[in-house]
Amino acid sequence: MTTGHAHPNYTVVWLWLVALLGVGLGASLVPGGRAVALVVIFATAFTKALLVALNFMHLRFESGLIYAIALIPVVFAAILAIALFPDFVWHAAPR
Amino acid sequence: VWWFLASEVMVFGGLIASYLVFRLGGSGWAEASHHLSAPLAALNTLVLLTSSYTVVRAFVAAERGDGRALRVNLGATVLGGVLFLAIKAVEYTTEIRAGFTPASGIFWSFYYTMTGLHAHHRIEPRAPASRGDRRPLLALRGPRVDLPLSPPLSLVRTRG
Repeated sequence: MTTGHAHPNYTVVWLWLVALLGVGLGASLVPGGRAVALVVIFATAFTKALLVALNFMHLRFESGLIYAIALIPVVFAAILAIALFPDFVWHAAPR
Repeated sequence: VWWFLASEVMVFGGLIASYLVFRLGGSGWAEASHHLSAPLAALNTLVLLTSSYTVVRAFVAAERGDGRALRVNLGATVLGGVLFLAIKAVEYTTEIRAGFTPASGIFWSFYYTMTGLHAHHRIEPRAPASRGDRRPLLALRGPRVDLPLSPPLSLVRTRG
């Protein structure tokens, strides 16, 4: 069985993933700037997940149906998180 | 394979959503998270990313019928899985010896549940790969790789 398409340069993708890991780790170690660090860490994590899904998992070569299969549970997970937000906003324990 | 991964997203999505709710609404998480090792978490992330790379290289080798490259890359992937579990074992041992068990609080319950489930997933996908049989790999059409979704929590936990 073949995939019938040209493969991405996996080594370059891996190098980008390692670089992004370094950026996220660096942000977590810099003292102060917690909000900025959180944004950087989650942004790099999201980018890494996207790089892996698109290239290593060949999502970029898949049909719209596969995108829907992959994205629908992400939407449900987001709905779950948002639906639970009021619970801790109104009943949050004192910090 | 995407159906399977979609179910995985639901499992881990539910756990991560619950984690966020407890993290934002609870107290004591920042202090507990400082007992975790960021360098070991980063090292394990590197291992995951690298094993994702080697398994996709194995997939290409299987497509091309290159048995030697297939064996080398599958071997490296299995090694990555073993290394991941070894590093995780060191982390768990250190934490349990320091008195942090799953019963030590909600943070530690989440920590052991999420990382334990994640570690379990490192064993299961490598079972066919360890037999050196390329057919299960090709049957997946797209190679099974590790989405680096847990590392953000590993790093965030060091931020308190």
